[in-house]
Amino acid sequence: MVSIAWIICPNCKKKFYVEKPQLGKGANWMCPFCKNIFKDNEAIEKR
Amino acid sequence: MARELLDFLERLKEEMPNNLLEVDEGIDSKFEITAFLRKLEERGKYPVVLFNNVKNLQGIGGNRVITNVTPDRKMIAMAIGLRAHEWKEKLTVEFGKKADKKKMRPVLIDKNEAPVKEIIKIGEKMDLREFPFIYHHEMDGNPYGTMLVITKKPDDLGYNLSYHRTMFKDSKRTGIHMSPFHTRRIFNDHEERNEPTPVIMVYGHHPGFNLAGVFMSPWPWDEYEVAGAFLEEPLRLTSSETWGSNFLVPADAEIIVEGEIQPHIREPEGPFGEWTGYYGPQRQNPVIEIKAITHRKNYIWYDTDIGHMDHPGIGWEAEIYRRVNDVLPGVVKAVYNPPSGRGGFHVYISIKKMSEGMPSIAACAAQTVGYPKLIIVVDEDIDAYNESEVLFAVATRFQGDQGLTILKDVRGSMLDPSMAELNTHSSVFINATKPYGMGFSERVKVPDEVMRKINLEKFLAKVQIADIPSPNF
Repeated sequence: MVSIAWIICPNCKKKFYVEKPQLGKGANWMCPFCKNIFKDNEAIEKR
Repeated sequence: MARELLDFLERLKEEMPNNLLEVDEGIDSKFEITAFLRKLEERGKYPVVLFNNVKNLQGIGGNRVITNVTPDRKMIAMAIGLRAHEWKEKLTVEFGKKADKKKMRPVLIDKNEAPVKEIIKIGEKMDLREFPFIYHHEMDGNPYGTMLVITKKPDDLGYNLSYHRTMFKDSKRTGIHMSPFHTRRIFNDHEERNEPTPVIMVYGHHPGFNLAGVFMSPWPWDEYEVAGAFLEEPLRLTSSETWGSNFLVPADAEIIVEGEIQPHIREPEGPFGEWTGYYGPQRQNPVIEIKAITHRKNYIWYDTDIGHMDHPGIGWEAEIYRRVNDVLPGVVKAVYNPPSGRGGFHVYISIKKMSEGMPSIAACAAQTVGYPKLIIVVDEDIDAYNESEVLFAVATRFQGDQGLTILKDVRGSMLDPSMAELNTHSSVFINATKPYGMGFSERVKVPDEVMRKINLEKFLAKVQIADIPSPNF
């Protein structure tokens, strides 16, 4: 598997994936659906 | 007239008018263009499409967008100055040969003569939202530009041209994803010195210019010279707005966005539907701050229908041909990177086999270019450009316990969803050639003289032939 982690946007609850090694390092992520920008620790990891 | 996009479109209209579809109906850049292309794809149709009334990111219509230019190899042949019917071996060979032997030094023209300088916007007048950046697929992070990004190499080596996705971020910034090749190397060098990397994004030019961005140039080559080889005339360059004569830009482009990749800044970029047919994940990627926008008055925004057929594997294919020919001169007949392998993962090679072992040498040479995961070597009587023929050879000239080799721990593409976490994959080599110097069953055939004699049109009207339905096997 390429190194991905599914996360869920805390705002719109839709899921998308990010590069797994970059997760958990305090970065911001941007929901592709609602454009909400949120921190690592706000994301809900799907799997 | 210099080679430019309109020049290519005129030639297309003259020589292959049915391959160009013009759409005047209004359409949105958000998913509607790619939905239109999917509907065509469902019917097995891949024309060049010129949309004449597309909404930009401000919701204003009337913008022109060209897309789907290179799924058909006939278009690629025409783009580099060949005839459309030369889309098989001739294209594979000439693509590499032109770039190697016919490079041309660019010529410098005054800014006042440059079509791409008809409109110049700097400072507050710059607004990327005026362009129809395309939303391609549902999970894409934002609308994207999918065309060439140009950087300047150190030590007067000239310029690097390559395709990169650039994600619209706001009116004056884009994100960029760079795989670990030449652009990344140039960026890394600047970042180590804590300097911004000058960069231009060329959202439209003659497709021959764009194809210089897929050619596997060695590091020291100036790829503006390769573009000249494909355009069959010296590329016209002019000064940039931001760096003057220190960074020259293509004068006959449709749109140029000048900018700087900022060092040590990373922001979320992606997901993006990539050439593999899957989304690449959202990553922390560098950001481009734009410095100037220049364009023609009536520009055409150029888009690649990424993730589908519009991903030319011709760059890798031509380089594989060159490398196999280097180690087996005169033996290789054809090399094809078929769309089933996304233009890069599958490689079919036909050779004139003159000893056992030659197929393995051909496969080893091919393995050094791009990301092959399946290499099938066939005899010269097999049409490597016809996947059904290649699989016929696998079915009838190959045994799994004898002709199969698996090479492990090969560097793979970071966009391959099946790849191991260590960025390596395995490559499968199938030797589907007949044994050399031994008797082998003969393929069935009707005598040549009778094939030449029988002409269907003599027996049937053309309209009847066209009406015969194609079967599903």
